[in-house]
Amino acid sequence: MAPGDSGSAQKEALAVTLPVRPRRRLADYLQQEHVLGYLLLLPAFLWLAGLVAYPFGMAISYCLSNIVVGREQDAKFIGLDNFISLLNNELFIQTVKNSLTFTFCAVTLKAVFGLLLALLLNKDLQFKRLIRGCVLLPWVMPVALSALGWKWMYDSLYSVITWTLNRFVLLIGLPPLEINWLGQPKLAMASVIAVNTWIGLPFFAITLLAGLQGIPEELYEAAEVDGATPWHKFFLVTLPMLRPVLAIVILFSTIFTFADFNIVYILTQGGPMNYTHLFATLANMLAFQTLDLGRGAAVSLFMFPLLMLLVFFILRVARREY
Amino acid sequence: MATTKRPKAPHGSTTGMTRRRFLATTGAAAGAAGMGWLAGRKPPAYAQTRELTALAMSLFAPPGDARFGELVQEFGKQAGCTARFDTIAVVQVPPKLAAEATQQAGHDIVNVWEAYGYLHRENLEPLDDVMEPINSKFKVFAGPKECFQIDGHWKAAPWYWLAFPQNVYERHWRDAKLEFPKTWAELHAAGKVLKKNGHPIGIQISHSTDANAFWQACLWCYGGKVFEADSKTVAINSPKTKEFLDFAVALYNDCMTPEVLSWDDAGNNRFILSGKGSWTLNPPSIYLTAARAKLPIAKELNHLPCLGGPAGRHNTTYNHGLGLWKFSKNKELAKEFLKFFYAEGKFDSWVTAAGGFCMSPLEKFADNDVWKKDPKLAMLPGEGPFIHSSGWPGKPTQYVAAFDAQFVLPDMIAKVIAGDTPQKAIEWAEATTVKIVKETR
Repeated sequence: MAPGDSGSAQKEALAVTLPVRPRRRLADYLQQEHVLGYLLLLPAFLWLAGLVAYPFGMAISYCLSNIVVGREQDAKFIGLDNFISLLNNELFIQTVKNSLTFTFCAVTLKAVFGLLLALLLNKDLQFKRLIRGCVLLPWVMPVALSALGWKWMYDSLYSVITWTLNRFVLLIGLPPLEINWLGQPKLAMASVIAVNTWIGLPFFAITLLAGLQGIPEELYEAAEVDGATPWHKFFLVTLPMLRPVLAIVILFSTIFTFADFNIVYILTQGGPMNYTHLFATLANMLAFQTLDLGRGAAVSLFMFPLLMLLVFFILRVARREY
Repeated sequence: MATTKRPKAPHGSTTGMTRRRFLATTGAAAGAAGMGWLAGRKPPAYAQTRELTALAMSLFAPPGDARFGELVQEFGKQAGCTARFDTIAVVQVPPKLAAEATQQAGHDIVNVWEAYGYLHRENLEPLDDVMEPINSKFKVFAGPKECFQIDGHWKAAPWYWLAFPQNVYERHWRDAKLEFPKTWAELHAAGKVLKKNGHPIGIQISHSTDANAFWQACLWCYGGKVFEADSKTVAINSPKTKEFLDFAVALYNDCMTPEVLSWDDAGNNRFILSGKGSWTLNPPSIYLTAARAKLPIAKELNHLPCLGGPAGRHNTTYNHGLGLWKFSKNKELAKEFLKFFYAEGKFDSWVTAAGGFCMSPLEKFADNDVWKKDPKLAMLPGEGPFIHSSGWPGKPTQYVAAFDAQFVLPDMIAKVIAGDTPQKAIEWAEATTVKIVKETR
């Protein structure tokens, strides 16, 4: 091969490789973990910024102003006046009490029954998969649909719960019960808590079941060798090993339960006498029925510092090592 | 350079055209079309499309919605535009209106009722040019006029109002050999007997819009009121309210069962349709539902004129109107539609289709045959002179909206039932209402 030929061949080779070079550079660039990492985070970041951070920022600006729907141009910055006015409002104070009662009772019930259900599902049962599928149904169904079903079950005329109870009551010769599930303050609160528990139970059960299946069998064997009873095994092995999962599930559930809207809105509209109003139903009433966006946003954000404290506390518990 | 022969397209294939020929042909066609458009100085068809959109709550009488939809379509064809009529559940309308007002975008024509006309008054286009001729020609009743004439302007075109007559299950009254009541006191006396017979009477004392409406009617009959005529001065703490409250609690204790404390708006409908209840207040939807479903109970249901009290006969209503957003891009088109709709042959055809559920706010159409054909509906148009909007003798303002949204009136009654003294409950209602006036923007 002539030298000249070799030079032209090199040029040709260069010409062929030139267009490829930027690709290789990009590939090299993407090989760097810090670049690729941020790039992969970007869609999620944009999603969160658009759908969470932006509305959150808007809500903050609303709650610090006297904005009214349709009269946005007249809105003025009023500092913390909305919050001060809420703290002097009997309905809001009642709502805070209701929300705390509702959340505490519902999350406690979900945690206790969810754990029991998870322990049961962890056993070798017949039709295990079918049972697990059925357990998930309340969680999978649209909440509004479930709430409508429960409304019918609590109905003063057609309540299947009252009807069933009365079958037993009549058997022992007592007069039939007339239970006003949604008309008495304490019973109405218990009723909405029961519905929330029913809907949220599968979330606890299935997540805790996953946690249970991650506990090494050797720990139970070692405990048995040490003469541990089933109670000992539960309190000294199962519960400590489940603690991180349990803490996270309780955290998520607390946030969901605090923000619940559908159940109360469909079942009681906050009644009777405001004894079931929650933050979300009150915020809806203020923002959409009286168009007071400022105070509606203030009600929604009132729970934010409380939830932040809770997040901080629960995450600390979850990370604690014994 | 060796050339490769392009393979021939199979016979009959459209791919026989070369790329160059295809580009030349389509380019020429596009150019010609573009030149044609420029020469005609008309925008292409897609840019001319106008769309009129209307939004309303779903009626409890679905054929009424269907007829309104047909009229919207008919207008669309006539005006050379596309037209759409959307209906949503009543509870979804307030947030939808709020969202559209905030975004300054949405439907052109929207269904507003009672205080929502007032609440959105600054975003609603004055309809004086549409409504004045209609008012002169067909005469709008006083109630709807008071509701939608805000600050001297028509902020919505009155569409219909709802009558809330007494709904009775006649057989229970016959069995008890009772006469139908004309006053609240007569109802109380009859209700005692009916309850003993296992057929109590019932109206909501709960967080439901019906509870707000019905009890306010009773309050007016006893001479009480929530606001003075200025719509701002709180007037609920009065001896008349005390008299009303004593009566309401006695009516509950003697004639009703505790289930009324948990009812939603449909609770009294179920109560009557179950055959248990003997009396309630409601629009004629209970009867119409039963008649439409051909239930035997329909024969036993009937309607009676509203009750009276020491201060006369008063009844509640919901005035519904059609508002036009100020930010609508089709204001003139929407106004044309309203003129088209409020005409003989159109408006009355819609009233007929609604089966007597929707009362005409226009005197001209108030004696529609739909109420003459069915004797059980015949009394409904006669309710017109007795109806008032919530907040009467004031107007349904933002304070009234907040008062109703907080269910102050039913809660005041519920508090006494739960054990508070009437005076304490009235003072609570007064303090709450004063706070509403102070804080509502």
